[in-house]
Amino acid sequence: MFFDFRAQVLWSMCLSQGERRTKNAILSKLTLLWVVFALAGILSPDAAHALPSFAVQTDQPCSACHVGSFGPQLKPFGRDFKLYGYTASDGKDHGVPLAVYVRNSFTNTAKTQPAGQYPEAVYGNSGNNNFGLEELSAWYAGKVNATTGAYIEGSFDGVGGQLHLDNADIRHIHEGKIFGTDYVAGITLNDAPTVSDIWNTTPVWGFPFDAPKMAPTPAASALIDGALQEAATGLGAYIMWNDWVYAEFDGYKGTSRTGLNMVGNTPVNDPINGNQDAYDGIMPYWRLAVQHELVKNHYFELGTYGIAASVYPNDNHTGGATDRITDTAVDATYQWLGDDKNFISAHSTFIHEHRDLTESAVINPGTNLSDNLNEFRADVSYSYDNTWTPTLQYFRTTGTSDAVEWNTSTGLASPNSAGFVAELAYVPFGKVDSPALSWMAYNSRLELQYTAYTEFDGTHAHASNNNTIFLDLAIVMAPKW
Amino acid sequence: MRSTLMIIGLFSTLFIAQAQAADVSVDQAGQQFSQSSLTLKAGDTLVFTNKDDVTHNVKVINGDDTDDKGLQKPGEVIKATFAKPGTYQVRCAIHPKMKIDVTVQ
Repeated sequence: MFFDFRAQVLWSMCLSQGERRTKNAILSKLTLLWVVFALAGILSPDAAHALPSFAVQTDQPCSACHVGSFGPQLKPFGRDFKLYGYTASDGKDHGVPLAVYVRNSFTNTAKTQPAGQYPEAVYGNSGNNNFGLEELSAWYAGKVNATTGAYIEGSFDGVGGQLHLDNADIRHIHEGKIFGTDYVAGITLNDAPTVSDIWNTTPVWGFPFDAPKMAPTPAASALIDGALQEAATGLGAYIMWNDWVYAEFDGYKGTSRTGLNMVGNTPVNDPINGNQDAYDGIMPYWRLAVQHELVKNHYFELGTYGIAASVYPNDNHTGGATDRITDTAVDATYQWLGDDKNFISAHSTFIHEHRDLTESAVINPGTNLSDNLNEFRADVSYSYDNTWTPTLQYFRTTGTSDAVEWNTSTGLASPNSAGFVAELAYVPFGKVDSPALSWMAYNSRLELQYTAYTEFDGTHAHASNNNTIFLDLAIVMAPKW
Repeated sequence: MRSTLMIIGLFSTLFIAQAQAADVSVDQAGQQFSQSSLTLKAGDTLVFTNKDDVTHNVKVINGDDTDDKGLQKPGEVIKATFAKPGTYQVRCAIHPKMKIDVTVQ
């Protein structure tokens, strides 16, 4: 197995040149690295907290912002931190807010994966058991000045073999009063609908927070549920009034093929007329939500969000028109804020998508003139001692039968899929009493996830063939300048 | 005799004013201040006690003037005296929703 040049550069920290890169060798290195960090933390005499980059800036442990001491699931302070533009700070100068992150996985699929299905995968792939470099990321994440902050992530996808701009959100905020009541408002420049959202119900930050890349996934999903991620640029404004009412409006412009090449979203060797959709004009995105701690320690959020887009399917303009896709969604969050050791979170969202397929019907004869797609997801997690976090999710997608539009793996016309995701995450660090290094903040998470399908791409028969076991180890570090 | 009485009266007034200056306790718990608004008299002191297990900060804002009292580790106490009448806001720079509107008479 050979690495491409980028992978060699990125992995040079862990692997010596010329070393035979077997899976065992790589795993041994990663295990060793994890143990070294763990021991370094345990043996350190420094009593400060183990903190990643935002945590360094705020002098708070990861557990102050995140359920289970690890992102991205947010507690109230985590939501506030984002709402206030990543600017909250302990007042000290911490230098450039950088962080790095590596995530490696083992995936077992019930169905055998064809050899070479992921030709760029750093560790290769074949059969039922695969190791993957899921993500190697670097962030600029933190305060720029008193009213401006940024979260900019660049990642190397070790399965797709692609270096790319990942989630990005740059904010500028303003505080004031309306009718004598406080508000915080801001503008956001970001690269996907819902990246700017502060709740874990919406697609970008929703559960599962990390999903296996080398596993079968259902063919059909709503536009807002991933298709636009890092494929559009949005400018918007938001306001939270009285800590009750949240409103946001953004306009998104689809990124051109050149732009996608530049940010690494589309491989540069793709043909000019690749298979990626293109978007015409500005796509309006809206978000409304109300939140409140109705009873002490019982937090509720109820909201709606959506987007409308004119789409050239496969960037094909031959029909002279566009498809019109409209997503309308509702979402809800419940959190029991509990005590220092116990925290319960529940999230749910329902997305309804209407597809007016005028252009597709011309380009791909046999496509319906319109389709509908519905996605429902609900999850509940219980975090114990900010360390152990089991989560259970139910998901279901249903929609109009359309043999051409959905292009399912089963060849059936139905986009229907359903199933469960069960996960157990273990985070040993990132808490008030966690040991730390004086020169670097760090944290890690080990998670075991099982995805079970009851229906997959329109069929219940053999749906379980797509079941997946996913073991994932993430390590995040930030320098203390 | 008259001037002596005036001096005694002046000192008495100062002494009474000093005696009337009060300490007002404010707790930081659950990443919230225990009060959201307060009315004080000039010379009163707010005594902040961090009852959380995370670091806080106390910043006193009066228009364009900011008096940053610095970081406050768990269990630490920070005091802020309000010498002049006016409208103030006390904030935690780390937890942006922690605010107290203070009116000093």
